[in-house]
Amino acid sequence: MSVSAKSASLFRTFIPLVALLFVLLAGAFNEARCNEKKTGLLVTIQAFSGRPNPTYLIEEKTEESESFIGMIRAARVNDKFEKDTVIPSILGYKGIVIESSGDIAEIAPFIAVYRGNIEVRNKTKKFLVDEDGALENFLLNQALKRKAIDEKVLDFIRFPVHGGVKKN
Amino acid sequence: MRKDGMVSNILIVTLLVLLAGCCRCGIPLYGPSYWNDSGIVQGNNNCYNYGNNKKTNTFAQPGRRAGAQYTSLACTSVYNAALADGLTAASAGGTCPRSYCIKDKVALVVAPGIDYHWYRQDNTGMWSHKPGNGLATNLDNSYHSISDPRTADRGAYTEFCGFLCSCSSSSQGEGYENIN
Repeated sequence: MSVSAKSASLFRTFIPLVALLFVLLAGAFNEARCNEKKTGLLVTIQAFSGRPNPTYLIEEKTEESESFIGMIRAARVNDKFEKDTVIPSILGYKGIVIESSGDIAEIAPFIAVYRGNIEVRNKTKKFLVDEDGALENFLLNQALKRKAIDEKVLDFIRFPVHGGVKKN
Repeated sequence: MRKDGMVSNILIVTLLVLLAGCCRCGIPLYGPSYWNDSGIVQGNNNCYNYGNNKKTNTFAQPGRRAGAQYTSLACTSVYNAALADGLTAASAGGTCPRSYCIKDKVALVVAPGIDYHWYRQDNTGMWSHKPGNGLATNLDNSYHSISDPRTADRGAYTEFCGFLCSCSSSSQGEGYENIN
C-alpha cells in the first residue's frame, strides 16, 4: 500500500471519530447551558385560584430590568398605607409579586404591586405609590408580550372585584 | 358448626373494616391558621385542596390523580373531573349524606374559560374557601361571611356549577379524597 493510500485510509477512519467527538462536545455544552440557572426578576401574576398562576422572568441587565429598577427607585414613599400588605384577600386578581432571584443591587427580594400601591419587603417593609398604575401596567404588558397571559386573562384581571353576576 | 362460626366471624370482621373505612369521613372546622402559614402549606395548596380539606402540597387539580383532568375551564369538565377523583354528586336538593357515612358539601364555580374555584361547608353550616395560594378565609369579595356560595360576591367567577360531596375530615388537611 502506498503512503498516500495509507493516509487516505487513516483519514477515513478518523473523520467519523472527530465528528462523534464534536457531537459529544456540543451536547455537553448545550446541557451546561440548559442547567445554567437564569437569574433576574421572577414575576408572578396573582390571578387564579385553581390553576397555577402565570409567571415569567425578566433577566438581569436588560432594558426591561433597568426600567423596573428605575420605576421602583422613582416611586415616592406612601406613609399613609395602613394595611399589612398590598395583596388583598379576595377571589380573583390580587396583584403582582416580583421576586429577585439574582444579585440585582438595591432591589429587595420581594416586591408586590396592586392597584396604585407597591410593597417592598427586605429586612424591613415599606410602601410606595405606583403613580397611575405605571409599574403594574408595565408588568402586565410584559406578561402579554412574553405570552404569559393573553387578552382574555387580561380582561379577567381587569374584572371588577365586586358585583359578579350570580348565575345558576 | 365450628366452620359456620368461623365464616360468620370473618364476615363480621370484613363488615367492621368496611364500616370503619366509610366512617373516616368527617366535617371540617373553620381553621385558617393551619393553611395560612405564609410558606409551604399556603403556597402549594389551592382551593381544591382546601375544599376537600386535604393537604397535598401539589396545587391539586381536579381529575389529575385519576388520570382524567378537566379539558376545559367550564362547569361540566371540571365537575366531571372531580367525580373521577371520587367526589360524589349532591342530591337533587343539594344535600350530602349526613348520617352514618357523613360527607362534606363543597361547591364549584368557574370564571368561564379562565379558572375554577371551590368552597367548602364547615361544621357551623357557613362556608369558607382559599383562593389559590392566598389566605383561607370565610369572607367573600365584599368581606361578608358566606351563608350560601350561590349568592356570595365571587367577582369574576360568575358561573355557579353545583354542589358535590367530599369525604373530608374533622382534622385540618386530612381529608380522604384521592386528589393530587
